[in-house]
Amino acid sequence: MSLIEINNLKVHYPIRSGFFNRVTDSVKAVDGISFNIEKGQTYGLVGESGSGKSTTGKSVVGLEKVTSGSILYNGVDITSEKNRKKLNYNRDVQMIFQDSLSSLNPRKRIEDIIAEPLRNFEHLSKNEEKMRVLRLLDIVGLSVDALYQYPHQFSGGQRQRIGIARAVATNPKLIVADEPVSALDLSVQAQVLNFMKKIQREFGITYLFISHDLGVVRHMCNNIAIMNKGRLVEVGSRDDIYNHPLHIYTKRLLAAIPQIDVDHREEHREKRLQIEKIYQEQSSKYYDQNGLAYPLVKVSSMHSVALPPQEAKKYSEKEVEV
Amino acid sequence: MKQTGENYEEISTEDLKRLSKQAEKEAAPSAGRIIWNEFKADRPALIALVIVVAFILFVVIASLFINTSKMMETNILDYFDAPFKDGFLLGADAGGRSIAQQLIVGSRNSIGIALGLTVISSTFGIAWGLISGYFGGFVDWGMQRVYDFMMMLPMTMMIIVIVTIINNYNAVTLTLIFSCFYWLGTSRLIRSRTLAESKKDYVAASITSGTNPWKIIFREVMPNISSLIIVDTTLSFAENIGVETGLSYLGFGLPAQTPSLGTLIANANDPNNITEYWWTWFPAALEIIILCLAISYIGQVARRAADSSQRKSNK
Amino acid sequence: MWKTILRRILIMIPEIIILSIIVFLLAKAMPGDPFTGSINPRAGVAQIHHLMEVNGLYDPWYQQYWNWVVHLFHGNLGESYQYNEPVTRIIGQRAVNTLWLSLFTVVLTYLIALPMGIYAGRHEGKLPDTVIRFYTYVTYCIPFFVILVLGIWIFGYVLGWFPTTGSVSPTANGTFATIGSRFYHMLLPGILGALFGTVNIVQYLRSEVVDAKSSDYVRTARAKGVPINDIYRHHIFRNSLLPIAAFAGYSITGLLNGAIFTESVFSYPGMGLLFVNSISYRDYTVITALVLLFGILNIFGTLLSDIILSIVDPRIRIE
Repeated sequence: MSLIEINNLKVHYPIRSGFFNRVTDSVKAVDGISFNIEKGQTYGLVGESGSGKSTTGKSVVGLEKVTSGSILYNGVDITSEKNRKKLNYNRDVQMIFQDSLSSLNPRKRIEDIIAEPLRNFEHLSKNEEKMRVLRLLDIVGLSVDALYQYPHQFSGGQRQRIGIARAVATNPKLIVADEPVSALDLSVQAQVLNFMKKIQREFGITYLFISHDLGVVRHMCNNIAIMNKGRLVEVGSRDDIYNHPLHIYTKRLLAAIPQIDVDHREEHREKRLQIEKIYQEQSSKYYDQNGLAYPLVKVSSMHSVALPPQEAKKYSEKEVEV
Repeated sequence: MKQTGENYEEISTEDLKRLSKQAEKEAAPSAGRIIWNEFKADRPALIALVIVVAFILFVVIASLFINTSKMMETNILDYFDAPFKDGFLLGADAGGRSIAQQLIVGSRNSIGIALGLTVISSTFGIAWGLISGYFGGFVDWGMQRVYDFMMMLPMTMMIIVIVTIINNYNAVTLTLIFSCFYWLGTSRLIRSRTLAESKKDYVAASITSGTNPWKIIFREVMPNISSLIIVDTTLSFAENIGVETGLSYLGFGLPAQTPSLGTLIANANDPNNITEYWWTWFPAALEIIILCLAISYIGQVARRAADSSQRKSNK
Repeated sequence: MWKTILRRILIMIPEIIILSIIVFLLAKAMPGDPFTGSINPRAGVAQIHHLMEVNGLYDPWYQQYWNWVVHLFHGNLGESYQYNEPVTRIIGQRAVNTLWLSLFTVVLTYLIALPMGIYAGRHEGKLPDTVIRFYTYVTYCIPFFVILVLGIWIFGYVLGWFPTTGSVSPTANGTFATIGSRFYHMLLPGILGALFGTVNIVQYLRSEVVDAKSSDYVRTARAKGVPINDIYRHHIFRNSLLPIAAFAGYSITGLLNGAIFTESVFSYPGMGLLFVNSISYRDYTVITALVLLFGILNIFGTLLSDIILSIVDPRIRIE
């Protein structure tokens, strides 16, 4: 059984209008996606801004009200608040936020910030709690002095590490990392990512890693899902996605990764322009009349792609759920 | 792991004190401290603060030595005594009662009611705004409808009518009646700030940390809007002085035998008094003006302190 | 846009119903009964009981409320105990005075506040701005009734420039003299109300102008070489003016509140003074009618402002 099973998840925001303020339409932030996260792996969720990847992440930690579909954690549907309460769900599933400054309450000391989940989920004595916090600080490489300081006294990378310390405080099974390094300098990014890997090894944590940076995702993730306009367009292993992309959107995304290979600059440019041309020509084929992706089709045991119906017939495999 | 734990225990016994002290020094200043620094940098504001505090203390202490019922006794012989005559510092009114003494007791009553009103209405308004802004959705919708409706009520009239219906009222009931109506402005202000504040990630982080909503509202969000709260409370204190005095002036505030700054100014309703016996009402009017100006000035400085770009103490 | 307006009007209906229930319950809570004054003082308790019974005063409250509402729709608000006249007629006479005074005050407020707000915004941070902001700060924080008392003392009694009581001089003969005298009586209360009611408009306009100054459309206009005065006249002022106009509706609440004080200080026979007098005489029918009327006027004022705003500001509109 997978650690997390997401089945046909939909998150719609209602648009109210008309005479009686009825719901007349909705913004489909997440529009029917399904994927599984196995224990111990790092699952990458990639997409441009507005593709619904953050909303998916927030649904998994329980911050977002789900419109329909289910998220099974060890077989229990945690889209209902009652189940989350019963499981003490957030003790096992935590989140790392993109903006490290806004995710730390500026009026609280680091000690209180890191200890917050401990105080709610584990009832420790004052001394035990302090030792746990000190140990967490040690793990993320911050000195004891940090205990009584406030968030604004740290650099961006340090703050993100504090956020990580808070997230791992209760020894969670799964951490949703919502663009954890997008706001950081490149040099600091590597540092924070390595911390995350180290912690993963140490605690056996599973990550749902949300990012728009394909380079970072390649470094971090075993399995990757590409999201576009609230739907998944391609799901597969790292090898499937990076070396055998099938959907034009994935190809285009990959082409956008900057290359440092100066000698073949012109070649890269040619290739990029070619892919863009193909994308422009075929985008009507790969998306339905509403501009949305088609249902996923299994092309190999791990690899699924949202292919148009006529293409899909070639892979006479069974269709995966919408 | 046990090893490390013991190491830390050693640290905590020895160094924790030193660390706490050091951290205290480097800690982000609280809203109260920021505002205090601003006052130290702004001389007129400090003077205003000293005047207001000293005046309130004086009025409270001095009124302890005044026998109110004796003070309110009519004494025909001193009918409209001019200031400095017969030992009346500020003269006497139609009943031969000392204006100076009435001023002191009246100030205490009026300021006391304004303070009580500020505390009650601000507390309620802040809680209302925080809850409405934090929960959003249907809770917010319902609370906003109540707000909209309250805004439509003819407030002064309603208060006067309620005061007339309740025969037996005193300063406390009066304060409570006022409080029913004067929380609206605060609640609106706090709500809009809470809406913005609740969208920040630290609130989401607290939710995923399992903290319950009430604790998030009052322990996480509220400290972050504390400077706004301090400023708004100061300014509404200045406004609230006008509430009770205004109604007492019309004759619907404190009972007749309880002096208030408003009842003193009501002496001006008589065309004779207003010109000939100006001392019966003018000191009270002047006092209200000075008091309101000083308190609002304090509020302005507090507002400047809350807005870090305008602080004088930084320069 | 019509949908927005219609919806807004629909929201208003429950508001008016709740208001009427509150007013009715307040009226019920007032001590005394409506007959003690109007019938033969020698009438016995039994007769009053009989009258109460006939008039349905022993019915359950919702039944009484319903009767009251039916009467309201027939324009029957009862009789004033103090004047022995229908309440509608008494309020009608006073309402005209209050209406003119309020109108005068509003017009004057706008005349004072508009140039001040624009001037302050235009010279943001400079001396005129500081002076205007000090002025609004002083006028904002001093209680209005204190200003009225000081105003009538200095300009009415000491200097004798303005009348201190009434709405028209009894010696005024002829149409022009009467109108002139009426205007003369409104002058001081109107000026005081206007001078001390500018805060909202000035502050709003000032920040609007300050924002507009740094906006792209103004910068573009300046880059094109449009004279700065024209920019203020045609671009900034026009953009800020309509939301300002919307304040007129909201200001009804403030004006009516202020009327109670203004009319008391100046013995100006409007609805505010009528209310204060009726309270003193315990003239409950008049009080009830006035509270209801003021409440409904507030509701309509807000409605008016909301509608103006929805026309002006497309963001508020509901499609």
